[in-house]
Amino acid sequence: MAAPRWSRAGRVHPYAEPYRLREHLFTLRGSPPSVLSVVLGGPLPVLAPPEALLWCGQDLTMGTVATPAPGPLLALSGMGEAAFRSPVFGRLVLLHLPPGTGLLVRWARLVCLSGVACAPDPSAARGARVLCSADDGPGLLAIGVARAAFELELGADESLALAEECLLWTSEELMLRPWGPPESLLCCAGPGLIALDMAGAPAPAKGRS
Amino acid sequence: MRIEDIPPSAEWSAWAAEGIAIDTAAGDGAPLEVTLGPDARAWCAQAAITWREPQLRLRADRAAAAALGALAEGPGRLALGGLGAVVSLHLAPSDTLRARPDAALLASGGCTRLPPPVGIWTAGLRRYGAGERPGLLLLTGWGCLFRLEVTAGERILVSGAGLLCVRGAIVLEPPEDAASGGLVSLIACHGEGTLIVQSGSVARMLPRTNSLALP
Repeated sequence: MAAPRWSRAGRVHPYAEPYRLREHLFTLRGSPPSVLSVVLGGPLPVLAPPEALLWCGQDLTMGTVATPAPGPLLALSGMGEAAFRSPVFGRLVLLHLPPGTGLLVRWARLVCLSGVACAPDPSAARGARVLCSADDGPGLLAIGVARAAFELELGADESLALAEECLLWTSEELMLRPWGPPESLLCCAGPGLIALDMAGAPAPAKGRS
Repeated sequence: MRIEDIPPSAEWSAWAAEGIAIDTAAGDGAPLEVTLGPDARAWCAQAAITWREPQLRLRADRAAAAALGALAEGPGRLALGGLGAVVSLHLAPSDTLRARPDAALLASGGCTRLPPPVGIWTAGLRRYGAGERPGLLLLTGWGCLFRLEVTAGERILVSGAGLLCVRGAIVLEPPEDAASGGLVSLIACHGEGTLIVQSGSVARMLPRTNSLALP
């Protein structure tokens, strides 16, 4: 059995400084970083679950965008400032999506996104994921984590059982399916990349399929 | 709008003038240890008291600030547990502020609870103020605390769960949900003053184990 190749999530940006994405400026605030404040500078909408909005200037235009599941997202645009936080998890991490790339993100972890389109999970697997893709330029995702995001690269003949609530995101090619009782366990089959929030979760068992 | 992070270790020196020392060295989540000098007194949230030394007198008080719980009289030590982030606020004479009912931990000096205003929407916040002498108020919130300075002519929408405290000439208006299609309820704040916002919520509050330190 191959040794697990855990690593700090390589896609997470260690931004200590404000980060500019097109016309917007994103700043992680707090210690640990728990709030994402955004200075919006143009029409590109910043999307978020309604419960993630902490404050915003009234000059911003507020609307809604339909999403695959399980509810609409709030869309803010215009010139002004807004801030978002996870109503459940105490930390935020930022993911940068280069143009033309996508990730399957667990919906419950999503806090904010910009320059990113949402589509249903093409595999229709369990895990309540949505496909977040940056089609027209770079995109940014803010994800809520309890502790920290760790990534694991699975080879073509490798699989992993994990608790569903630990799942953060996966690459598009990774396969997910229920793995018998207990119902909360998922089986991930490589090849592909998976990111987990390790807080409070038992170390996953990894083997060859 | 100017946003400022409130650091975990706030400025405690003003409490020393009241004969009260607050020790936060144990860090986030640990009980906040408060030492009252021989003539010091403070109203405190009784439910938050983890332990106290026997010589510290604790008695019910019917004064306006008794909404906080009990009056602690020094000398002696007590510890307030189960806390999130804390912020220490200094009230100048005749200064007032409004805070969530569950946020107040400790009050001293001239700080008292004030009656609610008549005919003004308060968003459920309680009023505290200093009379002729300055006062001190310790508030607790969840997650990280942020200070938003709002200038005249600005209008900020704030999540009701996030609004911890309001100072200055801030006017609060009931939520209007129309713009978001009814998805969110945000409190509109305008006027010149300060908002303190918490990033966490009671919903994700974790039970904490409080240590008992005996001299």
